[in-house]
Amino acid sequence: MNNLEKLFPNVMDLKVIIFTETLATIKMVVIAGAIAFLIGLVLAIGLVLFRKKGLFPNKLLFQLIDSLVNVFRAVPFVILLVAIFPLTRLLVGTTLGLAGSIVPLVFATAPFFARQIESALLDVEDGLIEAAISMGCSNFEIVYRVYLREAIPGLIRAITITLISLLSLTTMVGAIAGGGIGDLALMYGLRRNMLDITYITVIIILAMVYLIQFSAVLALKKLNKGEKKNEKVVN
Amino acid sequence: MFELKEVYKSFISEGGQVEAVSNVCLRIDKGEIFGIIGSSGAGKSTLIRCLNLLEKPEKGKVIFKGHDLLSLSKKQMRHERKKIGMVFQNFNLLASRTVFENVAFPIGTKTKSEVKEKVLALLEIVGISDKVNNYPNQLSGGQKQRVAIARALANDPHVLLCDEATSALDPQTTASILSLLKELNEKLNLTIILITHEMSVIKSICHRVAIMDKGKIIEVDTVINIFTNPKKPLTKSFIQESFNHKEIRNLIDKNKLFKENSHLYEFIYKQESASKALIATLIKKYQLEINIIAGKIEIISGESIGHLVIIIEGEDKSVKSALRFLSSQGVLVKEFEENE
Ligand SMILES: Nc1ncnc2c1ncn2[C@@H]1O[C@H](COP(=O)(O)OP(=O)(O)O)[C@@H](O)[C@H]1O
Ligand SMILES: [Mg+2]
Repeated sequence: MNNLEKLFPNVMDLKVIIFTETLATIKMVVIAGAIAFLIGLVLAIGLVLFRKKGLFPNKLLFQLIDSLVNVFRAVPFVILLVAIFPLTRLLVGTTLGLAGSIVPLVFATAPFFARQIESALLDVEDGLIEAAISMGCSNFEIVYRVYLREAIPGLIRAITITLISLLSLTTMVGAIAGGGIGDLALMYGLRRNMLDITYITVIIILAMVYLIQFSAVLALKKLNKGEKKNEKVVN
Repeated sequence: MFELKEVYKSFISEGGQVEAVSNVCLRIDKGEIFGIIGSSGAGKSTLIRCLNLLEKPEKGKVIFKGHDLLSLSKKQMRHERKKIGMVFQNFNLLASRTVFENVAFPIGTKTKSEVKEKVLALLEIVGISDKVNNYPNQLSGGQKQRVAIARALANDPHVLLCDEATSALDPQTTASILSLLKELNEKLNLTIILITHEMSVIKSICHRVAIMDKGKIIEVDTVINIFTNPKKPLTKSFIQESFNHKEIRNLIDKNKLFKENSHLYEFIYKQESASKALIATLIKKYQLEINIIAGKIEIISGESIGHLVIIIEGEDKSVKSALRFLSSQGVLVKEFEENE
């Protein structure tokens, strides 16, 4: 105990703050992740259906979604964050705190999610889609009974990668909107020169990354019965 | 069952426009096993995919049980597709679902116990009841194709389309899948349309066959007629593939079997002519010397077909009259040609 206190002198004093900020980060990841997933999913399904060889080819809609996704992915996060301040304020009434963080995080993550989900959906073999058409399935059935179902392992990988990247974005958003683990590292680790706080934030982040990957591995393993062996979680 | 009228489908590719299916007319009757054979790229897949509109013809009519499929609404077409089962070369099973779930997949409005009963009955028919709860990746190719066939039969279709259904399988498994198809045809009176690039497949189960080349059907007839009396050069080369002509030629050259007044012929004949001891007649009645280079007898559509490669030695005149005699006995006589 004594040694621990020597190594981490400030951690014990600030444990309540550390706890609440960790919780804040988790909230950001979960809420922004869930909203971004839903938006990304819709965009990805659009990309897959509207593409030239899709079930519902539509050049205009495809290009609209495609360029939307590209633009939002191209803008560096910090700039995006600032650029959409007015929109953030309009949507949630503030640019600070949890609510203020969620909006830019969603904007940055949804396009990333869309690309990841798109690639998971495109991994579903065309032959399966054709088989489903030949069995008289409607487009709607094909999306939810074939594309989404067969892409589940790919979707889990997409979620893993995206959540980890979202986690790192939350630290940046913390610096501007306030809150979360990134904020903690800046406020105490950097400004007050509490080195041990910086270290503890690193440990917490690593633990979260590990937790995300571990859950993904577990989920994939559970599914693995039906899938080829040696599926790896990409990071 | 199916009637195609002037069906036309082309693709734009780098090399320009490819006429994959070019004004094809075809009639397929209820209860028959109809084969379409052609080399790779002949347009077979495109043609069979036009039957359930996986590929939409640009011109022509696809008439299924009296309805022109091209005139149906999307919803009506989905309904018709349930009556047209299809199996593919690479099975196309859903990897995330068990064998049971795959077969249950296309079954629509039924109660749980009805579905279960149906699926188990289908798995029984295709002979893999022991794999109900396995996933596709735990099955061999032949087993996967059996599941695919069961799935294609789930809505009691009137016709089964097979796109190279055995091309990914080894010869033994191919034989077992073909005999399953034949059984389905006989027991359920299921019409089967299959495409293949292998004459052996046509030979073993088809009643009628169409030969396809560069998007066109060049010959259609019963399998037995195609084998005993092929008209087009390509048809001949397909039925000759059971003999390796190059090897036969090498054998002849190596052993110097060919003399000055030798003639090299290929005979194809039905059993009825075979039983009349043709060769003996040639030797006795026409004073010819006969050297049998290669020969075999095959069962095609329940009839046995003989196939001989023969060197005949003798005077031109007697050879000619001998050949005339053979033709009158229903033997197909051809000059031996080398195919590549
Ligand atoms: N989707 C497609 N796009 C472009 N060309 C195609 C397409 N499908 C088939 N083709 C072309 O049409 C021709 C016939 O193809 P296919 O029907 O697959 O032949 P087969 O099944 O007899 O091998 C080929 O030249 C092929 O390249
Ligand atoms: Mg093909």
